[in-house]
Amino acid sequence: MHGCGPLRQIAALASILLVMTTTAGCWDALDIDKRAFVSVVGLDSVDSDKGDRIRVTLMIPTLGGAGGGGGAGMPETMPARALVVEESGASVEEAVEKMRAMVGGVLDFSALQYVAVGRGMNPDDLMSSMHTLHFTRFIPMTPLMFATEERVNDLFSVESPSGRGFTDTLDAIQAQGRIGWGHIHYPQSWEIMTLLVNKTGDLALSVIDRTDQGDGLQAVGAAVYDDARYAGLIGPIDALMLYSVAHRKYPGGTYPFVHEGREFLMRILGVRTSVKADRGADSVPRVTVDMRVNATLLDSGGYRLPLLNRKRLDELEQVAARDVEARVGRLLERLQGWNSDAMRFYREVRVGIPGMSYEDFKEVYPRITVDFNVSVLLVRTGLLR
Amino acid sequence: MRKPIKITPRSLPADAGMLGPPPDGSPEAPDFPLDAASRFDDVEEQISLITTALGNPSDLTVRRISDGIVCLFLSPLVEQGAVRHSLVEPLSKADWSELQENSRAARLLPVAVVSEARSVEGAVDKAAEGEVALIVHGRPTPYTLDLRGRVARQISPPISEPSVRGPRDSLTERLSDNLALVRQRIRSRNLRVRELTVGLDTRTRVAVCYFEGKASPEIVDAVVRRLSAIDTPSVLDSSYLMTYLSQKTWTLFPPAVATERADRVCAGILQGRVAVICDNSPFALVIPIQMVTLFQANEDHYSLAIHSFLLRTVRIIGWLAATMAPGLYIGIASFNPGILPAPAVMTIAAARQGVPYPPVIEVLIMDIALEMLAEASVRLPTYVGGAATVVGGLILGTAAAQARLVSNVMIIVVALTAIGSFAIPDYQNQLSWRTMKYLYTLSAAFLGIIGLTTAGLIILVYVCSMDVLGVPYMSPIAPWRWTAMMKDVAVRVPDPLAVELGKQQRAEEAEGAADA
Amino acid sequence: MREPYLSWPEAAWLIMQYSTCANYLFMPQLLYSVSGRFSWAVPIIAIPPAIVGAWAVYYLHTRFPEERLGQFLPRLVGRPLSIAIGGLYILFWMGGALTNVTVFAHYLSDTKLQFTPVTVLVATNVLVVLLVSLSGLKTLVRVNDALVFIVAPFILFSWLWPFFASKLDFSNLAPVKLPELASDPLRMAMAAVTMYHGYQIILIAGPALITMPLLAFGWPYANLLTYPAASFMEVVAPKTGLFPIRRFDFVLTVLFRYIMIVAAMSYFYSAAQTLSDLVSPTARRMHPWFVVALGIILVILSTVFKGIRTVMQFASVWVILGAGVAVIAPLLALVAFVRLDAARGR
Repeated sequence: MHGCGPLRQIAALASILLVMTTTAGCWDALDIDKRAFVSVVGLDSVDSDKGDRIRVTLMIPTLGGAGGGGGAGMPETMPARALVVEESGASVEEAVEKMRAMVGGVLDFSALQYVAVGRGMNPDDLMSSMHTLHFTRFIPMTPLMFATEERVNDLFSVESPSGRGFTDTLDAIQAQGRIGWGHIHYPQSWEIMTLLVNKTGDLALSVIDRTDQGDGLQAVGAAVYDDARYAGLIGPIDALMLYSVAHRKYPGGTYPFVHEGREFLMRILGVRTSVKADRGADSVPRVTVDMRVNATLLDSGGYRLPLLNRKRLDELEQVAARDVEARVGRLLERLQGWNSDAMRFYREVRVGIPGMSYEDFKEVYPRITVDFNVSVLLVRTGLLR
Repeated sequence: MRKPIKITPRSLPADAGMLGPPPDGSPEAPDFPLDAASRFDDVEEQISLITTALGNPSDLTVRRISDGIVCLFLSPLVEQGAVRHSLVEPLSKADWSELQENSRAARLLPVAVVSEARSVEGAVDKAAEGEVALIVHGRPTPYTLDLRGRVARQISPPISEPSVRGPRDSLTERLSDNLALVRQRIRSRNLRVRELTVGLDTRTRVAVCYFEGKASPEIVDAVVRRLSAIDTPSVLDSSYLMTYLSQKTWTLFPPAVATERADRVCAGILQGRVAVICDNSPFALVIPIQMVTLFQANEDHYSLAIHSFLLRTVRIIGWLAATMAPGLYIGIASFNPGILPAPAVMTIAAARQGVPYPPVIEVLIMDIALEMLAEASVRLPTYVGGAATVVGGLILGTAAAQARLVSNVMIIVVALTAIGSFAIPDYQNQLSWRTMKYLYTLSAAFLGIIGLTTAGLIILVYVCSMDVLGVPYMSPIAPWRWTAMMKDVAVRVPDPLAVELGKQQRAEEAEGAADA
Repeated sequence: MREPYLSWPEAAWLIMQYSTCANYLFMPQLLYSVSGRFSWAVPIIAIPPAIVGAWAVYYLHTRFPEERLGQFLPRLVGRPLSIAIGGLYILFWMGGALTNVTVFAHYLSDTKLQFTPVTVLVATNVLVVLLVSLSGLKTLVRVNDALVFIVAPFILFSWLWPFFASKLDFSNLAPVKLPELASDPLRMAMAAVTMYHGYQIILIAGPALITMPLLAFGWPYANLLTYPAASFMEVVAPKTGLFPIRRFDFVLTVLFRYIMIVAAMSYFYSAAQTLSDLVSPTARRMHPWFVVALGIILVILSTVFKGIRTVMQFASVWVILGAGVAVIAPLLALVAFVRLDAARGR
């Protein structure tokens, strides 16, 4: 038998007892039904004479339909309800503190799904509030972020005609982008934080606004930032190209182009981008970007038999590649104009020119030369119209 | 306490010739006096000794077969017909002088074995165990004959371990039947059976079966040694022997498999384990075992390898659910709801609205209700049991939730726990893990999911520190035994491969032994 | 009936897991802090000192096959020096155990369980470590073996995933600049010397081995940590929000917990065993209450740390200790070689 067998058992029993007796002091226990889960946080800047800088809007889904014990849940048609509360303060903490009495539960950010950034958001405040959310409010690392040009509270108050909830609608917009209905991408908050903290490039966030009739949500493109300062807005297709370059490997969206007077629509299945940087003339970095695009034609653009011809396909691939090249080139010019490295070239510049700091890079950024080499592979030809 | 009985030694000196056989052993008429009154004094004395030693019980039959030949037995234990055919009829015309020698007696009596008791005291023990004592004038000790006819069950399908495929016979309460079931399956000359008598008062027969060459001699010796050293007064079932065999008084996990399946016993023996079969118990112990053994069902070996892999995976998931589901629920509902996707969090939060108790109390209420229901359905007679389960099911299922004593989600958790625990094959194993569930639950109430992992670690350390008869309980997982692990842990490899791996395993073990 | 000895594969696994898990927890941050982008090369530089150290420990083991460090030290270097050297080893191992149990408790306290006192979290970790130490070396090895099934897939995943996630950019490694290398050469050298210290557990587990070709284990960990700068989350997190597991960090927490416990168990057991041997060299087993007392001391010591940063500061001091003990092992072997006759003893 074991030398300290009995003692081991006593220790095991003691440990069980310890666990049992200390159960009373389960310090972190807070029942799930006593928490108010925040699903969307909106951040906006305000100027007020009271010293308030940040306006925080929280969307808290109400636990509607609960209480019907025997399994009768919410009817399918009943609109998802959510409580929207708004307060401003000198910091996120202060604003949230003011809301305590409004939400009827202990605020819990652990189920946070989206973070919305208002157009006028001050860059410093954006940094500090993201810090607060991450490190003192412990939001998960994965909430998705988007920007809006509206007042956040107005956006949150939009009731979808479908009766679906706000986050469901946002999810659906992104999912449709993946299957070829326009394009939208929400980066995750850790990604944004990494970017801002490590300074390896600049921010770009998809923009969600109300529809013109005010009865729903629509994606209008992407907001481009210089560091964390709002710089300008680009359209959905430019946003697709921007993300394709910035992410280096990107699932894609829908891309239209014109050839011989015919309109084509290709669904990009995947883009792989490799970026190389070295020192060019006058110590200005020279960047080479190789993009390989895999796509499928959604529509034959009125061609019929000719598309079965390899030569015609090669020609289309060439045309598409030149079109993408031209578009990305124009996009870069706009970005350089805003001094926004949203394509995140600094990641490679840092390696190629180790001595160059982010600030140095931003100084020469408007002058860098970038070579885009795009190749398109059409893997399918789509419907023959 | 047993009274000392004065016994006459078998080899008598010449001066005691009156009771002894003729010195030359000749079959001629004896030359001692044949006075009728005193002629069979020795017989009467033996009868009275045995009767007194047995306490003159009412079921003791003393049958005088002919002059100087008396048989004596406890009637409930003896088959009456056999007494008539094998004893009374052949001996009714015989003379006591013909029975002086064992060889001649054996010729006269149509029974397999005629034994000579070493002493009258020995004959008393035999009679108490149900043998017939045959007292013959002129012999210092009685013969004993085994004419036991016992009340025993027919061999029936296993009740506690039913299976879809595989043999349907199970052990019964009769040791000889059980040994027959084993012998019928393993017809090798290398099957060894060693019989012992255990229990000071019950004097229960216990057979130790193993396969010579497969079972480790040290383990067999240890089993026999430990069984022989048992000084408990009563052994009413094989489970009485478990603690003595493992020498672990406060173990949380079963050190041996108790099975009523004959094929499982044989599989154990063929794997080199030792089976301990106890008279009057339909459950044999197979020892030593490992944790993984408890998760294997014999059926695994009767289905295709891929199917048994699926079933084992399901069992492991069931085991995880049975032990951890309540703890996980507490961890999520009280500590870290963020680990679930947001819609799931909302669902749980909505379901818990209006429930007055914290999740840990909710879990304990439902778990204890479930334990009661399980216990009641085992104990109750079948016709009441149905009603009890219906009532229990109603309470556990809907009423508690409608009364908002517990949440809907909790019912799913409890159902998962119950189904999961029923998926664990071995009943004792099931009980062990049902006990462990409370450790998990309380730890989760203490520190949430981190508490749950702590409890997991504590249990892991405990099972890793366990040895049964020198065999690590967690082997072949810890310490690693690669071949054994490949052969029959997650995947049961098909038979031809298993044979190859078995050879490899034996070679490795031999090598390991040489190293040590 | 118990197998009296560890088999050499068991010992090998013990060493590997101890080495891997200890490195996994400390080394990425430490290495990166002392050698920046060059840190990927440190594990490779660390191989020669590790081979020397492993050889030395193995040599000591063959000289004193039946004894542990605390038992043969007094005979080798005399009583006073043995206390000093043994003390250094104990400090190193206790430091390792302390850092392991504390760093995780602080991490939890900063994130998932903010209201639970850190001491309680440390105590629960120490409880597990204590149970293992009370159960002895065999249990330690078995728990290691069993945890491998949880830890190894995770470590393998974290090594292999970057290759599929297209985030591993070898160009990051390419231009190794000398200024970077020389930023803190002393600390980097110490980190390299300490890197693979797993073999030192032989000083404790040695007597439990019989024949053991230690060097035959190989050092499959040469390319253990290539680019520790990448945060794990950045590597594993998928691009789209559609990925089903959004709360992967919790799974990571639990996995790191297991990694932590593997290392802490080995450190604590080594420290306790050496101390016990130095105090009473004839005792076959550690006295249980002594182990419990040591565990309580561990909990008390942990209260010194005020947060994860102070723990990491301590860890960089601990690397110096590690470098010290890693240098002492070859020295001891040298002494054993020179004083062969004395060392053989009576």
